[in-house]
Amino acid sequence: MITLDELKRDLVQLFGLEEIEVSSIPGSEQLFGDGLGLDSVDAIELSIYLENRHGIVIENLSDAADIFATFDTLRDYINTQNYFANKLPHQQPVRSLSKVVASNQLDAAAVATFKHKPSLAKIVEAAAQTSVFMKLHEFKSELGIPLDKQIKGMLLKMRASKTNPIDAGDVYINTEYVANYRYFFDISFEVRQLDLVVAKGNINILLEGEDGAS
Amino acid sequence: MELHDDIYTVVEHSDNKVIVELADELHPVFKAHFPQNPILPGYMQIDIIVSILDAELEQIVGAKFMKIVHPKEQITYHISYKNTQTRVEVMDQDDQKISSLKLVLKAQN
Repeated sequence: MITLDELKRDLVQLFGLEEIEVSSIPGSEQLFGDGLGLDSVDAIELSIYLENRHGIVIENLSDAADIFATFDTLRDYINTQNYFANKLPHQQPVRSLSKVVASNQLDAAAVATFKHKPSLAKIVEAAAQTSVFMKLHEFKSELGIPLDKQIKGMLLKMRASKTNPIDAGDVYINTEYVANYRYFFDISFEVRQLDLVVAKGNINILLEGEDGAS
Repeated sequence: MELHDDIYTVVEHSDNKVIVELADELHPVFKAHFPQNPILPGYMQIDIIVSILDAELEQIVGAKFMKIVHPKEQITYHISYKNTQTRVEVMDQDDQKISSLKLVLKAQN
């Protein structure tokens, strides 16, 4: 987690704006133009700061204007991305998810971004990664799995069908709890691309409890 | 299929059997999955054989994963065909079953 003051201090230092009193800058201050006065060259420097200091790469540059709008939007973005990375042990290039859009008790949805046309098996892996964001609090409590720890699991079974051609680019993945027998969870998924269902199926995951119990 | 092009080397390839040797733990896939604990992602066991067979994966009728695969391991794919399905048993060097795959493939465009 980065606080607003920490972010302000980082940027003041990065752009040599020491004459500005950090506490006097509101979180809603715009970073570019009339606000802090950054320009397009500074945007590149800001991207480098995100990568070096926070390990975050903005995959889709068209999102940058929204992310870099104000101190508040930038802080929220950094904290969301870090939360995301902490929950999911998979790193690039195996991690396909670019955004988690819903994280509920019994379902989760995410956007996965593929630079190349993904195989059906890779799509299933992305669905398994999406399922990590289902909260499943009731089951975890019952099984003695701490709610605040990174969830560990092993993909034991999968079945899936391609229902339409899949291209490179973004897909929207929805995962839903179906049933469980103790640590063994059955989860269904559906994958959409441009409003067409391109794949669907089920995965079976064995969750790991505390001390590796499963 | 950019990810795994260099993650394996084919050691032996006949009609019904393919043996591959995996890259070492410095390969980007092993570094990513997972840091401190390099294992081959299950889906890649499928992608590797589909790529060797020069096909495209249409359906995973069922895939069961029983054993973890580490860098540098040699794995053997035993391939058979039943109706429209390609059935693959994946074994390790000690002849222990790693996974069992029932796939529907189509020829690459």
